[in-house]
Amino acid sequence: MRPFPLALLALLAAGACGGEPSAPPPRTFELRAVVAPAVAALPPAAMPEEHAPPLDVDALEELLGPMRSGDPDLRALAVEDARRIGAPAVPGLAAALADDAEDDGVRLGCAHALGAIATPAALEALLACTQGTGPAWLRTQCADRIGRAGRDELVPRLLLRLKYEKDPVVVYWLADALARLGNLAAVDALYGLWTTSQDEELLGYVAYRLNELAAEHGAETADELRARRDAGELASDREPSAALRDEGWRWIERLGAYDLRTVDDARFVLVRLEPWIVPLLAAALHDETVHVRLHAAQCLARRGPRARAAADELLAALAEPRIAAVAAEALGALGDPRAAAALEEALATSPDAELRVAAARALSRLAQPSSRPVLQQAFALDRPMDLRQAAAEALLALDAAAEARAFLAGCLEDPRADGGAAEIALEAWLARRAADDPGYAEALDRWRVLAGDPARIPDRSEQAARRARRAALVRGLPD
Amino acid sequence: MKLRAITGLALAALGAAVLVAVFRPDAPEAPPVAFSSSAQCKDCHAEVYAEWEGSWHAQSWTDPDVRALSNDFANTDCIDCHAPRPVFETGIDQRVLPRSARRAEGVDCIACHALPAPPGEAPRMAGTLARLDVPCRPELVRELSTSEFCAPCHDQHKTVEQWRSTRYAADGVGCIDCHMPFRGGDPNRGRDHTMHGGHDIELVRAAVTLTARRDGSGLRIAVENVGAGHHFPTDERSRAADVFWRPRGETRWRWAYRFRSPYRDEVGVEDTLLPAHETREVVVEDAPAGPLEVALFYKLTPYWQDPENPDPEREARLVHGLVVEP
Repeated sequence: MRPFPLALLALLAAGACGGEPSAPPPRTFELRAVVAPAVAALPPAAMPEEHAPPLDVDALEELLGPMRSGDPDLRALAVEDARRIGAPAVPGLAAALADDAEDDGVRLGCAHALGAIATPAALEALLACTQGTGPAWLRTQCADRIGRAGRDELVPRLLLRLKYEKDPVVVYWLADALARLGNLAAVDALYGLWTTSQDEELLGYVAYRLNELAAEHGAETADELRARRDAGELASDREPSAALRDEGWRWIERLGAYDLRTVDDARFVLVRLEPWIVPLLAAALHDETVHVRLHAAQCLARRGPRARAAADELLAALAEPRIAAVAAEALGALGDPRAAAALEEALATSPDAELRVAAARALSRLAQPSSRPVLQQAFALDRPMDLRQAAAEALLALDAAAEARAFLAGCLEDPRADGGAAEIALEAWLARRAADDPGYAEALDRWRVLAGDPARIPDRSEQAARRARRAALVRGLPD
Repeated sequence: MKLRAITGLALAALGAAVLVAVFRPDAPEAPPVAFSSSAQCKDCHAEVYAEWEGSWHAQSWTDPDVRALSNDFANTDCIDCHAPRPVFETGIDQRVLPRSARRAEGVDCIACHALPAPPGEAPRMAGTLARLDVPCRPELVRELSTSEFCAPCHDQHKTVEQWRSTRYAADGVGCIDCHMPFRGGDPNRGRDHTMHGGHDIELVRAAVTLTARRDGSGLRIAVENVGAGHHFPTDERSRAADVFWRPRGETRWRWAYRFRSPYRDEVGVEDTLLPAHETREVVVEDAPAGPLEVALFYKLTPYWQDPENPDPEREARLVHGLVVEP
């Protein structure tokens, strides 16, 4: 007998029995080995070792000598010679590049030559230079040459340099290299420079490059480019290479490391890779290692709208107790209003205190009017303090309740409450109101003045005094 | 006769005690309680709760320094250890997971004591006694008092790893022996849950010695880690200890040396923490004639407001000071 008639018979039998429909089966979320087998199946990472015998001292000096002359034409010829020699030239060039005592012209020529050779070992030497303590001008040259080499599997390590590089000019060239390799975290880095740099010449470069990227991606202006990126509507049209996808799994594997420094670095990179990484992170939500799946959920949360493709997996992850709360917060960060119903249900019915609080915070991000009743329930007097506060913050995001506002003003002075979170929520609310109402704009100014000297960390009594004044300010506002 | 009577009475009392212990009815089992806040511990453990409430563990979420350095926890990487889920949930050989609820309670009773429970069952608490007749139904869990128990958070900055290579570790002296001593030195009174550390200047003073002497035209200063069971300072890149000197009578201190582990983005800054049992010498060349003051200061945040002209008396705490006479 075929399966269909069997199923039909079963349905008819169930109907004949009548009675209440059976309860839905408990939702489960499958856990399995995901990342380890994916990494095990990868081909070995490109080995930087070159098998060709290195140049002898005299042959190397024939390359470095013209670079030392200071003549740009001679340097260009030496670079071309090095390119023709290829791999055997790499060890000597890499050593000269890394040598702080070496002539600047030689180091510049070595950076260009290694970029032209572009073998794994050559690019490794350039990357090492971007991480080193050498002069900023040399780091910019190395970043530029990596960008021109066109090997996108280096994108994750260039991204990591963005995390640690402090020199704004080097940051510019790292961003430029990333853009060349098809990674639009470059837009964020360039905008970061735009808002913080005082260097007029650098700002000129930044504006030019942002406008160039805007034109490449069909945006009218650089601001539109940025807005589309923030909304998750901008992605590189360049397909990632197989080697870059492999690197994606290797960075996801690092989420399971014991050392949080390694995890922090991996999160930083995974948040900034292009959208091709999202399905891999979504798959990692099922990994048998709790740290991998939790941090994968955090990465999706930090990507915000740029992780919308993972919404279904995150909704399913609400059934996995260890990561349910982070999955809920990620759904809020994604900004997809379709998640509101599931979050409202979790807030109303889940026995898990972690999930309820996280769901309230996520609903605060989504700010859907449909959430108001369930948030009001969570805000009821008999609910735990932290849940009440999260619900009040969400109600304030809906601009709904004078009661919520008064409660949060109380949180500023209540040692049991999260005063810091209450300050953030109230300031965001004031800023929204200030956009339409000059009275609130003045209140917002007063609120910000109370912050005090941003260069100095207040002590505990100063913090308490600031919060008390802010609470009084909020209480004094009209309903 | 008298001795026999006393012995007889003592034996009778002992026998009675044994009989009571063996045949007393079991205390009724307490109904399980779902612990959702450390405040629930207060009624039965008032002394412990008061100690913890004033501790830095309790303030790990609310302390102004932490909030500033984590950008109000917008740097969510800090949440894992500043509002952790229970250590035993992941196990003492694993990192803790971050908490979404009750964050204002910081590193609380539940984070250290709650044991994982099967779904639908109230968790039991890890403790030094096994009992079912009290609401938290403690289980005897020996790992609770090991240094490995502190590692899921404190080894992120290598403190437990540093301790493992000290003589203290070899001698069985662990984290709690210094940071959670018995109250009043009496094991019957239990351990102090204030958990003193770098915020307690007396503990910092006990960790190191400062000596200095003239050496020709120079000044030779030595700092020895005599009491910390780990590097000095430890646990936080935010922490720093600085050696200063000045001619007696001058107000401005002159900087000589810093003990600190740099942040990752501080390229080229050397890690200068002082391992346990070791001494570091600092030489000031061409020190002026006359009496010189030497001091070791301790800072909870690493940066000076004016790095070119640091004011340790205002921005740091004095650990040790001395005068070197000519």
